[in-house]
Amino acid sequence: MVKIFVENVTHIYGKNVEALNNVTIEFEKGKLSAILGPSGCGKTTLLRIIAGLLRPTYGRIYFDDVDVTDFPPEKRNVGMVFQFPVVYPTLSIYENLALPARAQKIPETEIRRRIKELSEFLEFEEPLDKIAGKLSAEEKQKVALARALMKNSNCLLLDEPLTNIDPAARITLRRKIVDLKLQKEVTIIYVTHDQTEACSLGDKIAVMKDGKVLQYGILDEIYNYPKNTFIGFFLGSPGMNFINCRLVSKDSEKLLEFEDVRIKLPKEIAYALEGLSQQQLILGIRPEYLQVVEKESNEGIPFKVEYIEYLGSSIVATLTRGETMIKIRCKPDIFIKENELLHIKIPYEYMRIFDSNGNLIV
Amino acid sequence: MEGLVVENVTKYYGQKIVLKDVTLSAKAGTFTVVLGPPGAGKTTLLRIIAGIEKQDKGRILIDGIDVSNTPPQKRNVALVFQSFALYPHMTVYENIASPLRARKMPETEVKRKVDQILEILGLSELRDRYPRELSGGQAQRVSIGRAMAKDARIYLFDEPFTNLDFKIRESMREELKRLCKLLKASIIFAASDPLDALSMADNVVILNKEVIEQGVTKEIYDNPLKLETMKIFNPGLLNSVEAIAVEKNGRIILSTSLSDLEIELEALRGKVEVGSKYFVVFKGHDLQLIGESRDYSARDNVIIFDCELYFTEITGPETICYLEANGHKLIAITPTSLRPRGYGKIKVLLPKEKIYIFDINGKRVL
Repeated sequence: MVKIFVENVTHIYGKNVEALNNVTIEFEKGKLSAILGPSGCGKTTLLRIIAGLLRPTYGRIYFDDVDVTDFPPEKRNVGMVFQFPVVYPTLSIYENLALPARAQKIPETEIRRRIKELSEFLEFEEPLDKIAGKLSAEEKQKVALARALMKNSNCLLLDEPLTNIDPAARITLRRKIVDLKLQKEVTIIYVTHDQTEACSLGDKIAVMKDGKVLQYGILDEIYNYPKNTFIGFFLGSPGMNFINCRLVSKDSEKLLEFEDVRIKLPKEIAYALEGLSQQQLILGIRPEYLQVVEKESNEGIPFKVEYIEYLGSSIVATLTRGETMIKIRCKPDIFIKENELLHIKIPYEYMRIFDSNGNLIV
Repeated sequence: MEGLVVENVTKYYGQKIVLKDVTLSAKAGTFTVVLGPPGAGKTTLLRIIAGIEKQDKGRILIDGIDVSNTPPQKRNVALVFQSFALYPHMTVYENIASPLRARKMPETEVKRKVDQILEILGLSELRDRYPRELSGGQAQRVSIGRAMAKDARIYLFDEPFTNLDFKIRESMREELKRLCKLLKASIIFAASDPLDALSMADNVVILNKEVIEQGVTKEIYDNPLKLETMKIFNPGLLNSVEAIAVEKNGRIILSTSLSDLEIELEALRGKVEVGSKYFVVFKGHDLQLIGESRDYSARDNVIIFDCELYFTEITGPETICYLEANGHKLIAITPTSLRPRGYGKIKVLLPKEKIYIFDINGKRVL
């Protein structure tokens, strides 16, 4: 297994479609790095460049300290798994797994041992002599994953491997990938648009948009301190709420003002906003961190309930005050009704402040 | 009845039964999600309603009229597929206009209608773009627009969100629900993701070759009569433990091997048979992790037992906690902000009212 370093990679399709814009990122050895972004952000292009299926227009790729930019895919020795499971449909599961290993001249006894180990580890539901073309999408994807693990690859590149698997099977297969990264020291790059997968699998997460890596770090950092409003909204379900406000100073205090509401800011936040009085700012707060409080507590801001979405294990309600709209996510046992007032507390510790361009200040 | 009725529809592919005696109805103006795993027969059902396939038994009625022998183009049904079937050489505007022109609608009328649809779908600014210049979400909206232009009585959606990004799916659900309210037609939406049903559907039909259950979405979710319904609605998020009914000092008890856990519920009397096997089922969201310090022993509406927490998986706002209790693997789901920071012994609490009991055939007992 290797560490992968992507240096100043730009990729242009055709004459002027820029898919990647000067990307520099390091994927750690033995860890799972998730690349999360909307379709068209360049995440698959980046993966294909690492695999050697595409040559970058500019920039270099290193495996450990070896420059592999000019290496063809087979010389890079990477395992790949795609969104649509790729198996040899006429061959048995066993032969599907044995083929790439034989190509690497691994002895047959060793091949048999590995196949046994992997089939137990991934809990294949069908016997090894079953023809791969007849398997369910989930089982095919397990075979594809096992095949990528059969040879001694430098790294594993997974491109949305769970997208076409049905919801129940997706959770079990996701668990398998978690086990895989915990039990075996594999360098994995995992591309996805699904934040649930990125959160549960990624030791680190890179958020991409428009061919750039916007933020790269551990989940806690990206989730709680998104560098900009795009990341705050993209990660989270529903995404972070943003309230346009104005910063006002009164006596020695700082307050955020929106609609007819003024929120007093604690010292730590006020300090970071020094010199920004009268400026337009954006208050960010995640829907699940908002608290519903009693009217009498005087801690809440009254919002009108516009719309309630019942999602089984939780409720998402859309609330308004004047032109300001927010969403709140709470437990289903709470009693709320459309068109009524709900008193909402915005806890200080979860408040994030962005400048008017959407970049995080504090 | 105004709307759609599917009556005792059965369909075979060769020897294999794909739909068995399916009966459902969807009033005009309502949104129905047909929820089921892959291979449940959802697509086949939609194709039969559209008239693309013929059922072996049963009838299809639209606004009270039997259309079983009516060809697809005369049924007044619009079908939206998983992949977006748009004409690549036509702009967004032309794509939506083409079904209207096919009906020989005068050009001024076509323009008025298409403009209105573009407005509703928020596509006005994209009117001159070609399909290749659209994102997946935009393309899907255009294909919905094409379906809307048909002014159909029945709209059929076959897992239209499958190829869309997580985030786009989220906003499309909200949008589609709002749109369908305007259509005043019957909406039938096939899905395998329960969130589609929960967030959009007035009514849900749980399908797995036959109708497992159907009714008002929230009622079916909260109060399922079949274990299969619960599994389909909570994929990977359920706990199920086998139990045996015993009589102890004149009381009926469901005895499980879960940490010598005995579940005594007053309501069990008369509903379970002593000596029979049952499934005790509860949602991961209803199992709460509790600290050692608080004393819950005085509360008789809850069950408390010891577990070993061996893994946690953060999925975003929620964290899945993997637990083991006397050989049983269980899961509990907590808000990520309240998740435990280490592994090891932990107490869990389960409110008795959150327990579902099914018999060995998966039929709800309590």
